[in-house]
Amino acid sequence: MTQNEIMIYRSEDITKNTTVTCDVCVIGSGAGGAVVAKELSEAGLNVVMIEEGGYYSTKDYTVTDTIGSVARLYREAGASVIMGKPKIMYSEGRCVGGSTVINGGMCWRTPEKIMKRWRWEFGVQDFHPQKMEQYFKRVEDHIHAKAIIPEARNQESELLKLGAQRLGYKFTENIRSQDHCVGTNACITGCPTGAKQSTALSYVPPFIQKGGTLFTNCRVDKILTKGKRAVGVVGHFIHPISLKPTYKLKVKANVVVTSCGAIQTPALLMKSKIKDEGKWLGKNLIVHPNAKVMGVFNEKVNAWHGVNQNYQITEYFDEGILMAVNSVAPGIMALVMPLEGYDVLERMKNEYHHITMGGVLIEDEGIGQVKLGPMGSIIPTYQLNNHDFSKIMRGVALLAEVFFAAGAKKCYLPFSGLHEINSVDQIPKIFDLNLKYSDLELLTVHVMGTARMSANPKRGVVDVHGEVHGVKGLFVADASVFPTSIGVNPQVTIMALASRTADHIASQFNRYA
Amino acid sequence: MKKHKPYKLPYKARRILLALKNAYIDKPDTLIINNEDEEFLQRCTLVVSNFQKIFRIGFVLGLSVVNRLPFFYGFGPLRFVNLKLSKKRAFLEKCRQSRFLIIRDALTGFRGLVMMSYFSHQDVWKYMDYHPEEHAKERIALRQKLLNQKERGTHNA
Repeated sequence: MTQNEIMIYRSEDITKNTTVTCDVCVIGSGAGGAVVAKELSEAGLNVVMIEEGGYYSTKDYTVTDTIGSVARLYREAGASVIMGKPKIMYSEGRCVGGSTVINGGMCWRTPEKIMKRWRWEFGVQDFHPQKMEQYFKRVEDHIHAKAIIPEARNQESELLKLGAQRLGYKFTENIRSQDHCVGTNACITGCPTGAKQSTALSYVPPFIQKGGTLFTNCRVDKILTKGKRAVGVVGHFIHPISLKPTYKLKVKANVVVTSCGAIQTPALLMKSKIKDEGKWLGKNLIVHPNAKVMGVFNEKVNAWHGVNQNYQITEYFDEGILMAVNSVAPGIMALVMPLEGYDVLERMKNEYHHITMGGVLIEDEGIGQVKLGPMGSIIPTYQLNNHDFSKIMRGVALLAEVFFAAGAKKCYLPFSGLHEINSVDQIPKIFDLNLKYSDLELLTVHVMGTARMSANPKRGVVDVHGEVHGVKGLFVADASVFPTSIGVNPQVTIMALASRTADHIASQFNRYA
Repeated sequence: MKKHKPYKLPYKARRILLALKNAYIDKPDTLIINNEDEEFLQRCTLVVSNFQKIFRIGFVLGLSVVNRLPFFYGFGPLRFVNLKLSKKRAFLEKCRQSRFLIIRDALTGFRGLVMMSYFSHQDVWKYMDYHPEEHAKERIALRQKLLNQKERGTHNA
């Protein structure tokens, strides 16, 4: 057994209720948690990281078992739903590495317009390109953020580029967290080559090497507080098959960092009876609604060969619309494909290899909320507004136009009242049919904003360093702290903010000890 | 470690899911799927077992309601699982166009699970000419070659 394995505890290794003591307890091992844990470990602190999901190495990821993969790697097997009109399917990782194991690895720095807004409206004064440069650079270097090699490109992305070029639209070559990615196109079920630099590969190993301890298959139930300071957490280990509780875990710590994502973090804080002066906890849920458009071409596209998301169309970025393509396995495509009738199998057989599946990502203004429901459930809700609805319609029309410009013979649309159009001339139908919110079929992989950051305790849950207002030693380091939507893939912003939070904790640790 | 039994979908829910699968998907005679129903149900069970408890219960109850719903749509006293294929499809069509959002949403959810589970069977993949394993092997070999070239200094990515 190697040193790495010794410090990673799976629920199978635990045979009794367990109590440990440490300097810092980090809950979650995704883009926020793993960064904080690794950096504090390197700063010489004794850090325990707790992850609800299991620990999987590259050899465990498979391209032949879609359902098994989503059940292992995703919360609720990827079938989570945000309630509202329309209902929005959302996905988040539940494994060591969190959502970085199942994302496409897109690396965008926070846009300057967003940084300015956070400085002006929320008092996050050092959230400035020059001041954040060290953090962006630190995480980008660590996750190998760079453009992909030519050998990995795929036809699907080239069609997106071709359509954009023919229409004169601006597009960018994506920067991704990868080291020699060769395009197995299995990003969303765990990279089977080890090229994608999820935090399970990039941050967890150095964390363990520096003496950190990782408990996996362990769900935190409550953050312990004494007076107005955090003193630890209690949780329970989970049986990896039945998902039922086994033994209890108690961690005594001087500092607690929650990095469970924008749905779980506010829920954990609410369950722990953490009060915030401004009553913002759980509110301000932002989701980057994503609408799928599929272009069907006469020639074979074989979108599952090579890297998806080589390019993103940024022509309408200032309006809050970003477009990209993203191929998925048949099981997931059939789930989102708007096929009617009963010849689904034949149509999938005939069309799967000819389809380019694109997504329109919207910088949203709509607001949702995370609530605690019966039986310990967590219920997110979200209400689209007219402005975002119009933006989605416009984005879908623009992406369909791109596919037609690239030579598509028809497009599938995400509207229950209009599932198919056969030429660019039919695009106006999107606007003529008086579609309603509930006619939209949306999904998201970016949930943010439910413990938002603000210098003013009346306007946010955490301060500018991520520390919960009024609770000493309790920090949040994930997308929950975003005060507004950012309009781009959030991984690098989460990591850079987490790195900044880690610096703050390390430099101020004497205050908490 | 403590011993736990894995979650199992109730028998009736399994029957309804199979009936939905057979109604939603026309299967050509030429396609032979090994352990079709068994593997399909295993996948459905795996997904549902990961739901929050309240949604797991709601899912099973929802299936049960759908099974009894044909009576209220004028399809006689038979439950959904016992309808003829043509009537099953007519009923599903009525549900798809129902004025009640909750019925449309429930059927969308059930259909999604059926599609996801059915189209994850490897025999279906073969039928669709989808062979990700071969592609992954080829790409893993390519990556190894590129890494070796990098070590020798002949590839600079």
